[in-house]
Amino acid sequence: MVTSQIASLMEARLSALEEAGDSGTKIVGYFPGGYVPDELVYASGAIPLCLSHGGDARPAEEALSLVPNVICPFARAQIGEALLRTNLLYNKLDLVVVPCTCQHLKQVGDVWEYYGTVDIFKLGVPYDNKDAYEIDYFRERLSELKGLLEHLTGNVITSDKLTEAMNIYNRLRGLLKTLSLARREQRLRISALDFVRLNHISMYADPVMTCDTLEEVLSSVSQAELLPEGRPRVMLAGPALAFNDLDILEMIAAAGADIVVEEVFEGIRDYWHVVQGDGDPLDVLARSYLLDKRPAAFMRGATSRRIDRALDLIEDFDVHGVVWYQLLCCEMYDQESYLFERVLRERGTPMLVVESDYHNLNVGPVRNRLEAFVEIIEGGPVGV
Amino acid sequence: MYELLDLCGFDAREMQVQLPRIQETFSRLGITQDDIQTGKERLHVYYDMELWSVRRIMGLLLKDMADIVLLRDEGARKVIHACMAPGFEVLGTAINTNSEDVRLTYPNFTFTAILGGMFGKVVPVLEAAEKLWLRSGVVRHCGMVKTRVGLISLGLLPRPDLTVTTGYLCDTSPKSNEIMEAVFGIPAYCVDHTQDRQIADYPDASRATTLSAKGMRRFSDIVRTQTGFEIDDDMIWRALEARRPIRDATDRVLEVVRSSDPSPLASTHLNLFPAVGLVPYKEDDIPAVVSLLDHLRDELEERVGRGVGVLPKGAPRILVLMPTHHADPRFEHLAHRLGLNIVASDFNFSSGQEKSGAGIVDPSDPYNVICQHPHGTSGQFLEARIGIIIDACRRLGIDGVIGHYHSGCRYIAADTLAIQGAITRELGIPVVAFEWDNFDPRSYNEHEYAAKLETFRGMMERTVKVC
Repeated sequence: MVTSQIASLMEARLSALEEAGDSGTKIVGYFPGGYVPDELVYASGAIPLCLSHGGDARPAEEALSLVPNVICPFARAQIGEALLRTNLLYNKLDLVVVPCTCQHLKQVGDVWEYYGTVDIFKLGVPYDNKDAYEIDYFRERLSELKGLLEHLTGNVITSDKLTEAMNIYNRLRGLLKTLSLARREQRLRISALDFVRLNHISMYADPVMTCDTLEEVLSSVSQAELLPEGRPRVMLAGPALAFNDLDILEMIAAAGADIVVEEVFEGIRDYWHVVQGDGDPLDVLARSYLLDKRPAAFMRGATSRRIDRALDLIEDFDVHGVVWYQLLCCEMYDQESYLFERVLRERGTPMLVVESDYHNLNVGPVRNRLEAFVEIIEGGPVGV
Repeated sequence: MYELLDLCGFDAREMQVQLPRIQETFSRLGITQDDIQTGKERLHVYYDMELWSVRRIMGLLLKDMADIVLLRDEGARKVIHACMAPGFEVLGTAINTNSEDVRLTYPNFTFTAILGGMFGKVVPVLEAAEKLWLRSGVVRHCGMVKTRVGLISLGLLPRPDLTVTTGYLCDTSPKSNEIMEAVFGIPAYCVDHTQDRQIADYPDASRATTLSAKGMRRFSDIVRTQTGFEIDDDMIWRALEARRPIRDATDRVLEVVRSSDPSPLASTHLNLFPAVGLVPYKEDDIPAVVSLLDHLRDELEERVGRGVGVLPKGAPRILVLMPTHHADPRFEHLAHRLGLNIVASDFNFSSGQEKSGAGIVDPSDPYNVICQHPHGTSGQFLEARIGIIIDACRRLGIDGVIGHYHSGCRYIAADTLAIQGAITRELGIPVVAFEWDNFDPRSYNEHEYAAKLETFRGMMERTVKVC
């Protein structure tokens, strides 16, 4: 059922993109990571598309004509999509907003700007949020983006429109969160694959339609068939789980474990935070996106908070092991994996690092490692 | 040891003071008699020890290494470790001049030049970091960050009370300091920054410089709370003023290197200038440094006057992307042997805003005056960097470009292919591009590099420049 619902959402979105040219509706793309407020794009009347395709080696390889392979495959895939021009979701953009988060995504912005034919807006995200000047900086950049969107679409982004957009996206995040929390139950009724695909479609599909679909899913999930019981419960952590990068989910399931929660930066919509507050909506957006939400790995001083957050999730979702799904050349998550593994080892939670460059992940060695990992979990906590 | 210190330009009086300090330093760093012998040989092979000033520069860095290693023994109560933190040499001068017992050190370039360049002993330091969170392999973590983590984890540096870095070019350095905080308990601070400039902004960098200046001022607040020492603005103004002649004197030396044919100085020396320029000297020590650099310029000009060069007149003039190697002079030595005259790195150039003063948003704020590095090529976005590099190639009459991109630095390495294309298109000169690590000698492969450079030289001989 989920598969057909997702297909309907994508079909509707592609139709809207086809019609956008005739109706004069603008299409605004942005890269994932959770620092570009969807609300702002939506309130402008443009079609928001969170460009998050990956998992396929072809676009990532295509990008090697422009950047060396020290850039991660997800970032390279974004460059490759622009070069190949075979993906409808990447082909009709009027503006692309690039959040300056990690060095890899920053480079995507530089390359798209240098070679591209689409306008680029680089959204500076301060790496820290301890002082008011950092919130002010981000707010100023959002204000500039707001002006640019208004100019592009010819629509004024009023406070009312922005508030309405916040409500829509809060609803979307809230529904994803409710669905995610349902996975705290010992007997699962929704697989990680379905949950992630629903999350992924929310990057592209109309948010109101996605909310309606999520409500349908939620209302049916309590009646859904229970998944097999007694399988190890796993958390998936890492830098990116791109749209269509699903092999790792299938492989973990095939190895005999269930992913019950994800802690992923790019590619999984961050559904844990609520955009709320009094006063100027831009102030609210700036604070909510920079200050209130759980920090990504690139944020300074985030490491210990991120570990605490992961430990809370492990506790809350009764996680038995962590699969750290890392992309090749991701220097930040590679460093963090050391510390996470060390902390988890101390508390007896095993962790496995799997690295992908979007090439043949689903082959013998990784499968064997995942199977061995599941066997270790089933044998009891490591070091106890 | 006497011979080494003599070779490094120490006079009898200095020798008396420095000998026991350097002996103790070598003992702690594991530098043996055999290493000293190796060091003397390497100095003669790779560096121009006929020049008194080159010998003195080696001595200056050797002494700086001892100053760092012996900090605690010599009264430092609080030690701040700066790395990948341009501008902090100024704050270091302010702190080291005005505080009795708080010291800011900027050790990496000194250690790579001496432990690496002089003694060829930096690999165990890198390996120590690789056993922790900076693993070796395809992830390609930065050798400079490895050097820092390795030195601290091996106890070769006094354990700092605070580490400071910036995110101007990099996520590895801030993340590594945070992990050091978690693992070793050393508090970490990172100056905030964003990389959101674009073509429409160029050459304006005011957003970036203003944000960084605020982050740097916050560092001073942290120093006060962590050490009790208060850095006031007057101290920083004096440090800025005191240090300016170092930069000016360095520029004069580099100008002689770039403008002379035949070249009076081999490119193996180019990595020494950033090392000398980043030592957080006390103000009283600065005139001697400036005098040393001026003396080097005089020695080079004397060679130029005599028509003496280290390469034949007319040797092809090369620009390198990224600086010359910081820990291993072999690549530059090889290029030199093959007759290639590396005259500059793109890191030597900027949009010009900084030097004109036009980039300083608030001239009354010393932190804003310090934070002008986003104007340099290394801090630019792709299109701006390309523009500055092409302009530098034209001005210097460059015949070819070597793009040895430091793979640990995603920010800069990722630009290489676009730069290569732009130079080839606009200037018609060859660009050889390959991956390496600016701080890791293990990336050196003599046969591979020789083949590349010989081919590159052949291409230059057949090239008709577009401009």
